[in-house]
Amino acid sequence: MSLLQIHEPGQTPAPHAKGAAVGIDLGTTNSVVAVAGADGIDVIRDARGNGLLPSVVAYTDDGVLVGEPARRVLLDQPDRVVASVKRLMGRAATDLATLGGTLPYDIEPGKAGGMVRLRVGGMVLSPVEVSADILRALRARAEAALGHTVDRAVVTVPAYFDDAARAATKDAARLAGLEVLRLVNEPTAAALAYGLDKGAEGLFAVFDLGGGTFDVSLLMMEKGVFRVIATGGDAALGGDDFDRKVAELFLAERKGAVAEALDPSDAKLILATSRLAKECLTWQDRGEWAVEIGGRMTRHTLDTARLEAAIGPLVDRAIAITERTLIEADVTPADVAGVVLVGGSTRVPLVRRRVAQLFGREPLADINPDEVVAVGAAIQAELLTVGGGALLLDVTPLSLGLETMGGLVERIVERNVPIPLAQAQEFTTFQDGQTAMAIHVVQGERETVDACRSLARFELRGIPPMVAGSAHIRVTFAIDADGLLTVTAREQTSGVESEVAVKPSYGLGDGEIERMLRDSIVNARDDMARRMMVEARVDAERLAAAVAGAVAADGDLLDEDERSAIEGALVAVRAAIAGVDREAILVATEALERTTAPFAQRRMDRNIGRALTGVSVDRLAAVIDTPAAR
Amino acid sequence: MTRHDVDRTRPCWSCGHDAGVGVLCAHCQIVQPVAEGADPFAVFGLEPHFDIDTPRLERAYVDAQRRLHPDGFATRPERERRLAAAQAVAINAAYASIKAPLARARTLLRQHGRDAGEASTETIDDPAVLMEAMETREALAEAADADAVADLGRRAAEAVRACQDRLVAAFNTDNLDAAARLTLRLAYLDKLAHEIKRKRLALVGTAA
Ligand SMILES: [Zn+2]
Repeated sequence: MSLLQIHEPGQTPAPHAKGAAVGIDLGTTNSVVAVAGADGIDVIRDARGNGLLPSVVAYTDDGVLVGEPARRVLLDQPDRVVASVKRLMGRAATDLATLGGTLPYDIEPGKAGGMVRLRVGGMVLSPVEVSADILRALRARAEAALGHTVDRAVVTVPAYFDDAARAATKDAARLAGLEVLRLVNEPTAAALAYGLDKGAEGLFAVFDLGGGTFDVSLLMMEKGVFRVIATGGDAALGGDDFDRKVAELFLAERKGAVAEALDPSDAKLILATSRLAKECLTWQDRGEWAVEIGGRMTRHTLDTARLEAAIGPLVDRAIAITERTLIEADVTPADVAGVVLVGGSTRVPLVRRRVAQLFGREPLADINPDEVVAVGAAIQAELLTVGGGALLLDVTPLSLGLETMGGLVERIVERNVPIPLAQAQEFTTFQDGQTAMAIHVVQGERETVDACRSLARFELRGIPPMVAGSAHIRVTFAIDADGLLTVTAREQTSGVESEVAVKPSYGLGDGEIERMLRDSIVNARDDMARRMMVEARVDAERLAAAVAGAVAADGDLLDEDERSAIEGALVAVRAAIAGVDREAILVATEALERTTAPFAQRRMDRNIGRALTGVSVDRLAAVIDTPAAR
Repeated sequence: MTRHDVDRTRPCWSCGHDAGVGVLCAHCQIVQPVAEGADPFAVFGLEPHFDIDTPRLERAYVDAQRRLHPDGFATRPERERRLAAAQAVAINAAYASIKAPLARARTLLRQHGRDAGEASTETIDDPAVLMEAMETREALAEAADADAVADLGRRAAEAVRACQDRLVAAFNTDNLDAAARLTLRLAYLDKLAHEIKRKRLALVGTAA
């Protein structure tokens, strides 16, 4: 690496010894990874400059594909592709929205209750495993760009995600080999990006309409303190629902005597077409589209008026939630100093118009709405690992309670209360000699248990027999800074205790997580090999760039043969970089180093000569050094 | 230095020296366990009055979270992380017990050994208050549109403010009987305000 030894001081960072911490926006439609660099936050992009990784996973015979390649597989083999998996996190099959009775997922039957399982490419996978594949791809993207291991992350979740979905997200990160430093709410992350990057101050509303979820948060931003005042939302409202409305229009137009039966693959394809149709209307007034089901092709036009009529009621819903959130916080639209747009679905012109109307001001979108959440997550990752002046104070998105007699909910934790928190309430037995008490934890704003989400059931046993009403059972709800709940129950007189980290009902059992982790140890070996390959590739890229730069600067030091030998070695290195064989990369790199050794020596001599004739070494270095490929 | 800090000193769990009276060890600055039964006013450096300096409470709250929020301890050892999280929980609990006027009045009554009237079986026996509550409920049931409800909301807010002013006077003159009565009244008014808000929330999106 002799050529690389000439550096401008401070220009080339030493490779980090420890893994870096990144910020990840694990989105319904797209995912983004960003990292704090020397000059602010960098969104990590692919070779074509794209920061968005489509949250689409294909399980093919050649392995797992994520992103654009997976999306291409959708056209030929829709049964092997999973999109919008985020909507399934911590969800049961009955929670999902269908397209004419058909889901764009192939759900494993026979599993009553609990998180859904997907049948894809001959496997049965949980949404957690599919999400982990997306996270692995993001991690690999970050490692390739940074040239070192990435093993810690701040991962964002919709503010309105319930406990089961939060826990599922954390499990997915664990499966992908990432330690979750913090789960941060998406609108809060976006506010952090605006507050720190753009210096926004005062009361802000963040309107976050993504592919599958809607959040609205009100935050007070003052001198680096970000206090969430109130949050509202709908964990099942987003661009996917817009697509479904468009698909329903197209299906209704396909004239047929009988209603068509869709299979999950048909549903996936028509939804993909509908998404394109919707997106095109962001910059044009109309478009024409083809839909093929069962070998019958039909053509459909979609213009702005029809789109807006179709999605209007959904936008109304988001606007109504926003109005309610303002009322709950005792705030009027006029009190709000700025409105920030987050999420790809805020590009839909109708959404922007309605938000502007409600607040009486043009909303801000000067940080890319698709990337702003990842930027905020990366800022938080830096705050957590390196430190900084900012402080994030978030709240509970949903109330928490226990089932009491008659299927009613006894609320223990209110929504919009600052976290972390612990809240206790005392209960008693209602039968003489009762020795056990069933505890059913629910989340939601409704008064009855069946209208709320069931989070967990457990039993406090071993209560000493007493007269009804004389036991003192203290149930404590603790919510940590990730928004995750732990419930403890304790009989005060006997000290009998029982505790659950809330997971079982809709999350994965610990046994399942263990199995997946075991499975991923097999993958871990692959991961290790992949990481070493990535590191070799990054080194090779650096060397190749440095050699090319040196030849351009001091090519006159080479004769014809030497020059063509170096060029040949460079071509070999670039060819090896394009592959995935680490050995080949190392061999080609070594050959290039050997070939360029005499040239490097001559350049050193010339540089010393230049230095002696009064040229500043710093300037020289700037001429000689080529920026390393980052 | 706050008041609840003054009455106890303990050895630091980490360095063994006298930890002093704060949440951080005076010697090594490592976070200490939560002191049980701390006066929530003192946690924020305030005197236990009903009429508190709200901006000062807000500043003290944010300062306390700045020092103890779990985010500041993400890279610290497990035990410190746990202790800091417990401290942050205690700060939020103290804040919740004095921020809203009703909670603050109840906290003060309890500190004076009074029943704070939180049990749901507790009923009010002041006929004037009952009458007023009934009238407001009727008006609320009849209010058909958002404007009418908003108007009721404004009137309720005024009643709440007036009740709070009287509570200030009662607490300032140590008239605890009056304070207890007014706290009960405030609880009623609070509940009404809550019902009005619920009606406002229900009306959102229904207007054409
Ligand atoms: Zn100490």
